[in-house]
Amino acid sequence: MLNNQTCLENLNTAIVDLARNDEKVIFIGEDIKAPYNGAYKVEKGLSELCPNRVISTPISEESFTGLAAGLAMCGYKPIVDFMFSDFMTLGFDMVLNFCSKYPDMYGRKLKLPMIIRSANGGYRGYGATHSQSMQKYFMGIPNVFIYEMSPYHDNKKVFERMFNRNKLCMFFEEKTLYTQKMFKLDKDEIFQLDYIGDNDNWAYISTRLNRADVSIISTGGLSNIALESALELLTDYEIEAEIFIPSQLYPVEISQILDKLIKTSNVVIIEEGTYGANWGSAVLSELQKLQQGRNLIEKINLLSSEAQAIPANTKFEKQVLINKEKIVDLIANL
Amino acid sequence: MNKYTDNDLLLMLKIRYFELTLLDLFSKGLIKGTTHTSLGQEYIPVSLEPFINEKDFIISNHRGHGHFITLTGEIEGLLSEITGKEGGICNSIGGSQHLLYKNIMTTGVQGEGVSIALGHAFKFKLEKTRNACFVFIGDGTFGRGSVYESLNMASLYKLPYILIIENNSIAMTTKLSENMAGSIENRIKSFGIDYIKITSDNPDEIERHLKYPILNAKDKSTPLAIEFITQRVSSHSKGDDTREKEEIELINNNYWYNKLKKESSSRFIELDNLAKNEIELILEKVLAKKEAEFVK
Repeated sequence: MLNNQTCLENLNTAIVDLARNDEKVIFIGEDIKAPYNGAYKVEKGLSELCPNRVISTPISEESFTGLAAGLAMCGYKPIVDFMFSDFMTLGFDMVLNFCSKYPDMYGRKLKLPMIIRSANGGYRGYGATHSQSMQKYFMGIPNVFIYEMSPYHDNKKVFERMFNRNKLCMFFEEKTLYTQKMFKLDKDEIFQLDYIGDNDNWAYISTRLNRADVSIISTGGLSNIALESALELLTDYEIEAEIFIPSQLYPVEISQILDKLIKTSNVVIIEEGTYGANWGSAVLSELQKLQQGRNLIEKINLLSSEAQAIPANTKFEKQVLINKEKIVDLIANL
Repeated sequence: MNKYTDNDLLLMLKIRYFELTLLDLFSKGLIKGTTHTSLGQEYIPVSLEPFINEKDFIISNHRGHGHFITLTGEIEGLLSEITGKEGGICNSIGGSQHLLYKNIMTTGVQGEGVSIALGHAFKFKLEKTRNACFVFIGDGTFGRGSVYESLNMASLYKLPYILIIENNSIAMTTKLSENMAGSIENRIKSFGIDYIKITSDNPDEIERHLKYPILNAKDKSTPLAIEFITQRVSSHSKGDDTREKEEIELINNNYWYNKLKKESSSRFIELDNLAKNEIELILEKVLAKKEAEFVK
């Protein structure tokens, strides 16, 4: 069953199940009620199942984030929908100055089970303010955890995991993934899928030959681009790549895959966010910490999108965003 | 002048002496950081206290000591919190501006409380408990966009949301006339929210105006805004008062405490001494306590 689902169907099923099984789960966001069911239809079925727990809001991101935080304080489990992740900046004060502080600031450990989720990323010609990868702006905030949707992580488990944190979790959904199938490996006679770490945090895609030359660490949103790159590297350059995709992006839990990275000693970290002070930097910093100056990994390269506004013209957009050609080019020339 | 009841007056006096104690401790360098005192505004929480029960929720702000003391009675816990002694209500992590105890919370960022209050009010509405969320803001907070987002949602969703505005006509050092076009009243009413203006500083008299509107907001789950026309007797925090001498003199002449002191009835003197002594005793006890330990 699961194998035939698209990522959107899997996500929608996950949150409908959560709402059905837990009366404290409550939904907040713009245009999320039936018949529209949210800009990406993630909320389909909720208005029929639990109309009192679907709060359709005005364009008031800061205050509906506050509304959610207030409900979370009262033991509810809000799932907040930001129509585009670009607009998450409008809720930033609530995230940094309240949700991040609340668990510690009052002198005892307090719970704030709350999820902010959003469509994220480019490749669809939406232009500079509707295409960004916003994860980097929310990293490094105490008590805030960053997750990303991937075709290899069942969303129901990921959402349960996030609520079990009892702190604010932010979930990023690459727009181009919604229509992609879950758990699909393009060439499954070549590639195989395994999991590593607590909560199966890392999806691990390797070739059946299992003699990787390079380790690609990728965000969930770039899963398909990473896989296509690995395929091209194998067929055109005879370079064997293995791919690691985490569900939890930040804090980075890299120790669980360190052995494998040391084995190839050649790591490429890819992400869609802009260059500089980004997820790759955070992964790199964790790797440095784990190596304790021992240089166990010979080569570490970071690849991201360019540091400029994302063009609406799809031909230009392709040049600015990270893509298969850039990844293959970098790795083939290492 | 209307007669203040003994209970109201005693509480107002305790808040006054608590705030004066803090200013004194600051001037002696015994406490660090910052504090915002509610001198001049002591009567406001005292007027509301009869209508707030333990199941309601209260969100206060940077100028929240009076609210906290009135609604919890925890003077010793608050003073320990601010002085960094054992037994602080938030283990000395929250300090003056970040308090959470039972059903009252304060935050240090202007205009956050108005949004968080929506969540508490929404819970009361969902669970039909006939409670309300009370949220305190000042006139300066009306510069924040979250106020308008939240008023809109409180009205739209018909929430038991009671906004208390303490209009002391000054935001830090900027006068209301230099901060705001139009009026608070018109802004509130434009959202279809019931509005009450209070100009008295006598809780007993104020309570009569507020009783039915607050009951109505709770019973019918509907928002309400109460604007207190008040005055800030002290500076914004410690020593940042830029107002003209004449203006401060006028404010002092109009301060309930100074007016009562001038009359100097034996009842007032007795209550004044009672409050002063109680705060002094608490201070002595708190200063003798051990330093707080950092509980991570």
